[in-house]
Amino acid sequence: MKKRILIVEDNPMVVKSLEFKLIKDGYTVIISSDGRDALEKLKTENFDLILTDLMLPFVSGSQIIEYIKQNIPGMPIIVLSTSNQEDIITDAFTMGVEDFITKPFSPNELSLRVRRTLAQY
Amino acid sequence: MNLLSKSSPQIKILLVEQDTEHTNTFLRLAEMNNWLVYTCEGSMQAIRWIKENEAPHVMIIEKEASPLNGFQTHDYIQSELKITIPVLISSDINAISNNRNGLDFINKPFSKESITTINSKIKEVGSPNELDDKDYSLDYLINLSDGNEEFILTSLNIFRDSVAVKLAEINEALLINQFNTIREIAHNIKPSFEILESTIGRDLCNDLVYKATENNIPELVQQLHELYTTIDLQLKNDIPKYA
Repeated sequence: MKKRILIVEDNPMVVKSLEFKLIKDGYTVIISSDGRDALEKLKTENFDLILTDLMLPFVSGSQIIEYIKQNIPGMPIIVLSTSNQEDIITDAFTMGVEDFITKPFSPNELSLRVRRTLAQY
Repeated sequence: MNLLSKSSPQIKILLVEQDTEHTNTFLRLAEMNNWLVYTCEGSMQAIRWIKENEAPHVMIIEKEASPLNGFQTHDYIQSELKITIPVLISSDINAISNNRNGLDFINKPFSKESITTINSKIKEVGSPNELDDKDYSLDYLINLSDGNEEFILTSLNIFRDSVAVKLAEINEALLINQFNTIREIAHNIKPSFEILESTIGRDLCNDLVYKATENNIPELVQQLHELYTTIDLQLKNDIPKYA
C-alpha cells in the first residue's frame, strides 16, 4: 500500500514540484494550500508523513506542528523552509520535527529524506 | 564564537564541537600546524559565522552537532547559503568507512592522524561559489522531471499566473503602505524565482523580506515587476509552447 504524504504549502510552483517528485517516487500525495485546510484533513484522514511550510495562511506551520504533537504524536514531520530562516528552523526542531528541506529542494535530497524519515516510523 | 588560536593566517578551520576536551586537543594540533581555528559549539552558530565571515578552508563538524547535525548543517550551507566548503564530519565511532553523500569523516579523539586527513581535505577544491546571475534557467525543472515537457510547461504557466497575482497583491499593499504584507508576499514568491534559478529575483525577494526599509520598498517592488516581465518575455521568445 502506498504511503500517504500530506503537503502543506502555499506556493503553487513548490507544490507542483513536490507533487511531481513524490508521485514519481511512488507515494500518494495530498495537498493543502493553507493551514486551516491542513488541520481539517489531519482531523479526518490518515497520513504517514507531513511536509509543511511554516508561513501559511490562516493557521501557521508552527500551529500545525503543535496540533500533530498533541494529537497525532507518531506522525513524522518534515518542515519546508526557505533560506534565512535559521531561527525558525531551530524553533521547529525544538518542537520536535524530524527534519527540514529547503525550498527549492534538491530532488534527490527530497527522496532521501522522505525515505529515511518514513523508514524510522 | 571565539578566536582561540591565531598562530598562522594561512589555513582557516572552523571547528564545531561541544566537547571541551576534543576542542583543546584539536587546538594543540592546530598550534603545531600553524592553523587558524575558529570554534563554535553549535551548528546554528556556525551557520551564522559562515554568513558573516569569509569561508574557512575546511569545516570540521561533529556528527551529533545541534540543533542541526553535521549532515544537515552541510546541506544547509550548500543549498541555502550557496557556499561550498570542504567538510569533515567528526565522530567518536570509527566512521572513516561510513562515507555518506560524498562527505568525508574524521575520527575523535583528534590525533596526529587527523592532520593527514585535514591536509588532504584542504587540498580539495572548495572555494566559496556564488551562483551566477541570470534571468531564468530551466535546469532545475529539467533535472527534477528528467525533461518532462508537460511538467515543465505546467510549471512555467504556474509561474506566470501565480506570480502575476502575487505582484498585483503587492501593488495593492503598496498603495496602502502595508509593508508587512509586502514582505510576506515576497517571502511566498521567492521559491518561484529560485525554481527558475533567477538569482536576481531571489535577491530582490530577500531584500524585500529582510533588508528593505519602507523608503526603498517601492523601488524594489518596481524592479521585481520589471524582472518578472523580462522573464515572461524571454520565456515567450524561447519556448513557443509557453503561452
